[in-house]
Amino acid sequence: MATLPVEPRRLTISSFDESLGAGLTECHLDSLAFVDAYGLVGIVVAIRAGLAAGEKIEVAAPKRATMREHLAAMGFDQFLAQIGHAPLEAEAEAMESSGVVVPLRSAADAGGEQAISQLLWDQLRDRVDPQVLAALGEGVWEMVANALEHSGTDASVMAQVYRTARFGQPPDHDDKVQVVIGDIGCGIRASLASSPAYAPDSDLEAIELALEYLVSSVHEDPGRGQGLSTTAEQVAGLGGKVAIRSGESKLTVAGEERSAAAVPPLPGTIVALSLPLYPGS
Amino acid sequence: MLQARTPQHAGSREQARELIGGLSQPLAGQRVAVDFGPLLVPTPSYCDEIVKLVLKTGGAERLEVLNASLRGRQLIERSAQNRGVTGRLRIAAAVG
Repeated sequence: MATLPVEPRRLTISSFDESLGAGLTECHLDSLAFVDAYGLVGIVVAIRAGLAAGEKIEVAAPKRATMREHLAAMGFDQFLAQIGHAPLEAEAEAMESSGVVVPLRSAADAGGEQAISQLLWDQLRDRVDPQVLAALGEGVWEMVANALEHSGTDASVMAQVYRTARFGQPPDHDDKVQVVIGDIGCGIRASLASSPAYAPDSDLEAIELALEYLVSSVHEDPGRGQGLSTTAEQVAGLGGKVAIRSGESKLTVAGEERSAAAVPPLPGTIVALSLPLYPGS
Repeated sequence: MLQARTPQHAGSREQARELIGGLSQPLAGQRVAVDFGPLLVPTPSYCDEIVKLVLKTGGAERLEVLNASLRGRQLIERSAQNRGVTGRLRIAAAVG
């Protein structure tokens, strides 16, 4: 019954789906020691989907105080309050050291794609390469707008910077920024299938279709369907990755390379944009 | 000549509709100049909706694009190609 039945130590873009079962009623974060933006947005999407299905969700807080504080800094406490759940009993004071640049936000509550984009711009403009900032800004606008327009639901958004180098040292090539946008809408397959032009047989086929330029559920308008494909193109051009999870498939695009994985079903779509802070460093 | 100027933060089709709607006049047969100078991040959707509203559905004689960044110019040109209206697009005063 529990969606996170294995009490994961890490919830990241690599491990979240391995921890996920079907049908969320309990969310065991007791053993959690590390979570990235994808892991957090994934938890939130799973909880929101469970609540939308009429479940009563119980979240078991991490045992480590530092992890509770980290989750609070990421905005998870605010989310728990919105759904009427008890808080994690932590202070959300560690935002700067945790690398959180945009804590978990409801796009609709924050004021839509413009407010999210402006927040991201303000927080990142002095911390990343200008090309990275422009690519992220473009991608976030498009992905949040996609979520709000096509999913028929709200979107959860979060951004975090990960630095391997110590403060005061030059950026390392592994330093990156990750922005994640998730919704609990109909998903890419159903969205495209609403158009008579497309009938994808699987979630993976639907994701691959959506990555093609000018493929859109609004097929009667010849200019639609640029957002996801151009975002992937921009991110790849800067050495980054785009991961798209919808339904039962996840596709990761890194330059010319694509890797697909079967994942436990979740409603809606999660898109993660990961970019080096300074390409070429 | 009808003139519009983008805000700093804009990227959605809805905001493009607000910008062009603010011209408050029929666009058919008109020359329309849009100054992209203030825009921090041009997006495919925003640029495409402006091209669509001015040249396709609006039927303007010409869309003049001013002060667009390199990325903005690329997106606008691509949209004009997609919509078959490149002959009525003029891009001037490039920056960046």
